[in-house]
Amino acid sequence: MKSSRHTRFLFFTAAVLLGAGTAFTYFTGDAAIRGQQKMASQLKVINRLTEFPSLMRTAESSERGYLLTDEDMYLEPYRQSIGSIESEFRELRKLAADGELPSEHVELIVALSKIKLSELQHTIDLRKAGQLDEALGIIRTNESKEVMDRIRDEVDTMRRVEEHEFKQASIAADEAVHFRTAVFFVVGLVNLGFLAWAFWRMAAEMNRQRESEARLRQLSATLEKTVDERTASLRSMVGELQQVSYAIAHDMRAPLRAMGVFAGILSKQVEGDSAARGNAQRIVDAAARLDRLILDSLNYTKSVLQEVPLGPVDLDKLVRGLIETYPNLHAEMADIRIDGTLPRVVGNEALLTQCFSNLLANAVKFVAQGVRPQVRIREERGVDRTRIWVEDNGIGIPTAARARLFGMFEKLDNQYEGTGIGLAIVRKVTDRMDGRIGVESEPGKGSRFWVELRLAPESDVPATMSQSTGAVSHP
Amino acid sequence: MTSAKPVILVAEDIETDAFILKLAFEKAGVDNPIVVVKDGQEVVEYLTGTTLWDNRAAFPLPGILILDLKMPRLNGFDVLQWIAGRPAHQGMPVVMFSSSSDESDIRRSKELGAKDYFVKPHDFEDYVKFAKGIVSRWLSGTR
Repeated sequence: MKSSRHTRFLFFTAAVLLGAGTAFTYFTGDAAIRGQQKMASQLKVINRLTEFPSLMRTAESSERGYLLTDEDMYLEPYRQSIGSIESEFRELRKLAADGELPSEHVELIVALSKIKLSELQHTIDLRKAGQLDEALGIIRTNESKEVMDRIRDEVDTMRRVEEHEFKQASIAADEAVHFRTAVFFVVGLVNLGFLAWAFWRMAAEMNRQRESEARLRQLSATLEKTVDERTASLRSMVGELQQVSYAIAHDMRAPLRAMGVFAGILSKQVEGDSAARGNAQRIVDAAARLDRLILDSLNYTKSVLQEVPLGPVDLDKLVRGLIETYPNLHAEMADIRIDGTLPRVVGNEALLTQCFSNLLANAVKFVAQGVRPQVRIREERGVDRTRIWVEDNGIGIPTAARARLFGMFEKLDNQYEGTGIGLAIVRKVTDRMDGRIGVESEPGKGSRFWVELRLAPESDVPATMSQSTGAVSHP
Repeated sequence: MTSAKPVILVAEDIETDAFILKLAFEKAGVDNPIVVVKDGQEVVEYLTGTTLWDNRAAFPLPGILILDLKMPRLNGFDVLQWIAGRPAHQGMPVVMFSSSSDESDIRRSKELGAKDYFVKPHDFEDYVKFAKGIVSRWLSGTR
């Protein structure tokens, strides 16, 4: 993404600037320090050069003092000066060797100083020997004075040169310090400037990100709103469809009921005429069939359109209740047995009632003439799903018909009453409970229907079954 | 206290169904006066003695109300709710007589105060049985 490369570039540049600035400041600082160190050593040289002539003069005045007074006490300072002068020679030579001072001049000064020193020593020796006049004679010569003057001049010259260099060095050192300070500030400003710029860039970047995030949130909210609106409109459409289908069914059943009832009355009224009675009875039967068809279609529509909340259901209680409720499932009519206890499954009570009442009704209906229906209900448990088998001793289903079995209005055998919707409903309702349905069958060998459902988790409390009371059921 | 037989008030919007019911009562030998109204609104008007029935002498309060569910204007549930709010009519039993066999309709009617619920049969004999049952259950005591 552009922004992370950008960020890396900014941090990298900042690091480079900081590193470069620090190095630069260090080196200019270093140069300034070295300049000052040089100045310090130059100053030392100058001091040395200033000291030297006074050492010589001290030696000379002690010599003079001794000559004048013949007192030994003047020889002490003399000897000390000599010692110092000797070590000065060494120092000066060392400085010359180090390149601090011009070596020819240093040699000249040393040579001249040695001449002077030997002169002094000579005069002192003469005096010691009692030859004062000779000693004085040497002093009085121009040569003596000239040597001293020469020494002084040479030293002066050298010193002045050194002083000049010192002044230069001083200026240079000052400049170096100023330069370093300037560099320090510039580097600081550059770094701060860069930081400010980088910060501004990153802030702009973050703003952009925030903006696009906000836009995304807005779009997402709009989308959610649209989805909610669509869902609401779909829900209301489904509700309307349900109402319409229910109204249609209700309105159709009313005249149908009238037809059945009056045909029934007619049938009683023409008891004598068997043909007429037969005809009237046919009207009754047809009306009853049509009514069942309407009811089944209505059930199918309901199973498609209705909202189906799923929860844990006690299948054992439900199926046993069904067997008790429907007369065609009672002990006088059929042998229905349940192996063990049926489990608790995830489903919808109304849909499960539909499903199993249809399966059981089929199981007891489709038997051969004179055969007592025997139905066995058992469970085949899986890991988190289970199969409930409904096995009958009925007429069975031909293989070719298996494909159409669960279709709408598919009747496989016209000898038996039915609308052909029952199994379509069973398939639909199991679908809606996230279940599956299937069958194993051979003609003449009965059928074994299975319904596969999700097992309810152990901890849930099963939904209580509602009791239908007081309704008079009329077949 | 009148010694006349109590009125059976029937609320039924479909003429044919009302006709069949009357026929059934006749066949059952019931001679209580039967008044048929064609929707919930007319039930209310009868019970409050207004509009067509504002003559209490001619139209006394019924001994029983046989109530259909699906009717125009006010339906069966609306009537049940109306009666529930009026202590004056609490003594009159209400029996539902509807084509719907829906569990939820049955439950709701009972919750709103219906004493019983019957699904309209397809056989005339069952209509007659129903008529006899009504009289013996609800109208046999003195009023």
